[in-house]
Amino acid sequence: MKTPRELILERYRAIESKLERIRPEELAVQAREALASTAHPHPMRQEAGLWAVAREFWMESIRPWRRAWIGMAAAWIVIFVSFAATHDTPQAARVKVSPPSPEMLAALREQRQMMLQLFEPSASVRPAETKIPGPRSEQRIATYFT
Amino acid sequence: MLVDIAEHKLPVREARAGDARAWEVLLARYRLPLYAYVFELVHQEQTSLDIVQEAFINAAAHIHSLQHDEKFGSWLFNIAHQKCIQHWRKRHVEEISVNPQDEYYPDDSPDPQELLIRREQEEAFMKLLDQLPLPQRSVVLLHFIEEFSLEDIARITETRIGTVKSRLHYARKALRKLIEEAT
Repeated sequence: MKTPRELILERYRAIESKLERIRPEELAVQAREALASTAHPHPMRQEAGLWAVAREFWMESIRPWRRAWIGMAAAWIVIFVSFAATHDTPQAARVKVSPPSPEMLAALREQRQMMLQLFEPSASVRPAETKIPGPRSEQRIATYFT
Repeated sequence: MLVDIAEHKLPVREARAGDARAWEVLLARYRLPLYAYVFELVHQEQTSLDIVQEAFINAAAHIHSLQHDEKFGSWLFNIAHQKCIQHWRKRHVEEISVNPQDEYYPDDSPDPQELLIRREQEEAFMKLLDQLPLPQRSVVLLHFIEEFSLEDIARITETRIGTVKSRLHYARKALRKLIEEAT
């Protein structure tokens, strides 16, 4: 009986000789050079913090739901395109308006005249004159003589 | 030969200072497990050798930025994992992505020693491992080869712990089923 680890590693024992071509001395030199470069910090290093935050945001918030984000972006694009296609801008609408034809102008003029006739007070029609009663003494004299 | 040294005893501090002997110890400890992990993902000998070598060179160049020495193993595997992803991108292989079943993750604490494989099951086990989808295979290998914690596996594969739990659960279920069928 073997554990999965034993089984998996045993499968690759034969490759060990090829893996030995990785020289520890070369790695040590790399590490020393990298350590020496940290003594004189590079301006790029300051960006590492921001980069890490951006990377974390990407990994945590965007990447796991990237299909949803793409879907939402596509939906918004469709909405904007359809809106732009169906609605004219005010300027475009103004350009599209054609001048009214002479027939239409004549009809409008006629309609206006009719409206004026209907609503403006006519000279022939006057309100009935109201009789203002005189003093009571005059009324009494009038009834006496009639 | 594979050297089994506990994480806290690894000479990471000495390696950071540029000690060749320390790098020899780290190489002896990690080159074979790292190769096994990479090969199981890319299935090409030369590419796997190159990725392992590049991972070690990158580790040497950036070891000064490693904050927790005891995390050297998971950090090294993360470098190799990133290199595998770059390799897949070059070959236009579908990247490891979240699949619908990843959303469900039962809370079972997995034990890498729990599965014991008989000699007659070995071939079938390796074959089934190859058949697992890339995301599950990656998680299972990290779990079996290095016994990394769920947090470490999540860090290496740059996924959420819930996703790791889910992938591990489904992969282990498939492997257990195979072993039960074989007995």
